[in-house]
Amino acid sequence: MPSPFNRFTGTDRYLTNLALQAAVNCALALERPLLVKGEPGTGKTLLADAIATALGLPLLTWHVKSTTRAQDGLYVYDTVQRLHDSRFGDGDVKDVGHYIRWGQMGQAFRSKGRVVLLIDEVDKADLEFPNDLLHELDRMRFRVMETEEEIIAAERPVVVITSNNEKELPDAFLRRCVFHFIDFPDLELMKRIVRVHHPSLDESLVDQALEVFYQLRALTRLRKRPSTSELVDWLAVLQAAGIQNVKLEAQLPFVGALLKKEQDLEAFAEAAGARRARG
Amino acid sequence: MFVGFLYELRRRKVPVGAQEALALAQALGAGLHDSSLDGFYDVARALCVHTEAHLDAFDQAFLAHFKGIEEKGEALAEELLQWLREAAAKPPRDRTAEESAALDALDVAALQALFERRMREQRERHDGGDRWSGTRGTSPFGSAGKAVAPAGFRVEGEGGGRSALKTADARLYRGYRDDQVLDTRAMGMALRKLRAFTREGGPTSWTWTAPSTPRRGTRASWRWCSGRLADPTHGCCCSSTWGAR
Repeated sequence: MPSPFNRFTGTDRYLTNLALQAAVNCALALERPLLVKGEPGTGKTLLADAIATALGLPLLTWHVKSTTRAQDGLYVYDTVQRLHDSRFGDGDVKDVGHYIRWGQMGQAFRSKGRVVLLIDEVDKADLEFPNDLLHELDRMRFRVMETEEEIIAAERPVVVITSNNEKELPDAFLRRCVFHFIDFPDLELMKRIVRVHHPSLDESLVDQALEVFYQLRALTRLRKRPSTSELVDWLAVLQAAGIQNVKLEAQLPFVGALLKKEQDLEAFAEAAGARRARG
Repeated sequence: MFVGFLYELRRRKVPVGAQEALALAQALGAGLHDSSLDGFYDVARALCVHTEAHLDAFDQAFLAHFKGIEEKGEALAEELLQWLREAAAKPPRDRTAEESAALDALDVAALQALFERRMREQRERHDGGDRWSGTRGTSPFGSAGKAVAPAGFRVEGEGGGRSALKTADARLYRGYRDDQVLDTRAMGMALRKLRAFTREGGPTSWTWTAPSTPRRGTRASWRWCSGRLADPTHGCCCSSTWGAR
């Protein structure tokens, strides 16, 4: 008998497939973090947003940078401010708790209700960063050394972690997570996604644009293939410019919205030229 | 039940262990797989595969372990229906507790009709089309050890998704494997494709230079050879360099 928790089925702005729903529901039921990987632009970050909307929970986002340390996510003890106040200010310097700045993970644990915590692009930080998070993610508690306080999460937050595959993640971290790889959408799903973002766009323009898009993706010499978000932007531009017809040719309108690298633009120009020469 | 499947995964170098087994048991216990093979495929993939390099190995293991299960599922369904019919035919005082509970929960005639409709649909799909039969909703048959699931059959509406076996068969994640070594045969096949170039707009000559001395700054044991594809119409359009030991 399925347990009575709220199942995730996507929202009206974020379309999902059954595999993604299964992965999210596993993460919710087993209370494990969900690790999402996929090509850039396939909607990994938006997934956390969709989960928060679907479950009606607040979303806390932690954008990891290359300089981030795991401790920063929990809390930071602002010693400089305390020193400054002790010399110049009038704050209550004796109360150390006043100078503890909570990071996103610390806020998630301290929150009274359940929250969704998104740890975005975890592979940007250093190699030891995911390992440093392991203990806290497992036990959902941490200790503030300065005030000798132990913060225990009243309700386990829903943790969504995204990775762009720039670095290998440690095995111990991977095995604690539920994994999902977001495939690049096929034509049918892409049409539905486009419909969600541009409901008033002309059907024939959408079909032609999708054909051009998938033909571009099939070019083997591209270093960075165009992704879903670029397609949506390109369609917005085409609509704004009032263009009715597109096909794959050298003079593709607003090709800079799809291809971002110079080598790709050159490769595309050559491929388009070769097509014209052939056919 | 699925421990054999986990060992199949281990044979293909997917690192699963007790943690995955327990998580999978917990997930199945919570009914996250909707009592269907496709659901099991999704749940098992979410819990047992930790990186996209193992997705292909998972597909291979799934095919090896579960191929042919639909025929066995049908046979099991027949057996169940037979058992129910026999139980219904007995006078009430002769039935066992299990039989009475089953007959209370399910309506045998409705089940029979549903089963026949499913068989007809499967046969149509096999004949007509390019799809494997969807096996969602065969919950009473799949749960070994328990005779009947109280909810009975569930027939899947059209979800537009492929069945698990067909997805596994398609081997969509072959490109993400990280254990394929570029061997002589693969190199040979790649070079053979160059023979397909013709005069019509394609490059006309392929020149190899293979210097015997190593390049400055590289290891002494490496040899470099380079190739140039020359095309008079467009100028030189491809040039590559290979290093080999």
